Amino acid sequence: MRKPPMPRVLSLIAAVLLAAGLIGCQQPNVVDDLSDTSFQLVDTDSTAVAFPQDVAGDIVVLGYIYTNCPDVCPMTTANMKQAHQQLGAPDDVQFVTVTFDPLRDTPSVMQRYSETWEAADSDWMFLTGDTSTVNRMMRRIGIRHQVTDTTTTEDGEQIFFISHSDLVTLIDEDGRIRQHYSGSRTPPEILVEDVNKLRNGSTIR
Amino acid sequence: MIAGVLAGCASDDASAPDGAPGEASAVTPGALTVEAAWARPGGAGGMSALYARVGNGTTSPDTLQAVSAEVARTVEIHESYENDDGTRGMRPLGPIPVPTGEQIALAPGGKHVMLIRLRRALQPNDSLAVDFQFAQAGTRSMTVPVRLQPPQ
Repeated sequence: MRKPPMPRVLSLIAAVLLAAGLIGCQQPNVVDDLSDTSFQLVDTDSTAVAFPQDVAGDIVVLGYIYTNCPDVCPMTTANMKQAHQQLGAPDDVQFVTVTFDPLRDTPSVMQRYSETWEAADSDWMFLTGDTSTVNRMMRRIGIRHQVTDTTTTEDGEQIFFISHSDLVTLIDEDGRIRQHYSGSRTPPEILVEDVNKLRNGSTIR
Repeated sequence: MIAGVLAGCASDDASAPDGAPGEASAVTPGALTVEAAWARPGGAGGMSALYARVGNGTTSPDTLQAVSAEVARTVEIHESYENDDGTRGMRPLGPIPVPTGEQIALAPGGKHVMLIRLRRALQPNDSLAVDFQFAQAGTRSMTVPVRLQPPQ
């Protein structure tokens, strides 16, 4: 006797849905998994920070700046600061700003930057490192940075400016990059919303 | 509300400049005005940026020739731009024309005044003296507040 056709149709539908990732164990959308790597950076007091290991277990909001950038980079830091405030400086979310200009942005310069942004008393990290480590980290994450313009001050000092990726990155508790955002143009509310999605285990976008 | 957006600030019009999008208020008839100026915080020896709205309600085209501020060793007019690959950079810009009847926004992500090598730290709620020098209207002097966020 022939089996009724319906179960086969149902199993076909199930297979299609599974293939589409609509049922079953849905994997989070991971841009890159950084948990297999380690970048040895330093905080503003020259304390060593292994990134992302030392912040594992926290959701990370990661921004990239250089401190001689007074226009676009502050837009990114301002957005991060507003997100930080809206989240209430939470224990489970680590804010990290890292420079891609480590030769000029020493720990003490990063300390001044954190003070300027009134973030020095929070647990927000402002990191720098040696050039090769910073470059390796930026390459891995996909942050481009290149000197493109210079100006000479009245004192004869040459100051160079960097063209750079304009991004903020959201990393989950397991060190996996889950989303990149425009650093200067993303409303802080979007960052907050996606942090809350990660907290709830729901997908982003 | 501030943050007037104008023609010419092309690369950054896709999103409102940092801060609340607002309506560009009309120019003041008969007057060249510099309004809603504010500056970013910055560390001693570091950098800051200065923003404002310049409106020309006169019948003469004018030009913002230069800006000076005692707080910085060097002051330059710059603009931020976006490259084809999405990276963003910044370059010096010459004097800025301010045509009759138009308002020019010096705003985050676009044209702005660079305060280079600050003689002292600029913290939120500090203020600084600034001179805007115009070809026709002469010098406009004002005291500018330091803010973490654009004025709303």
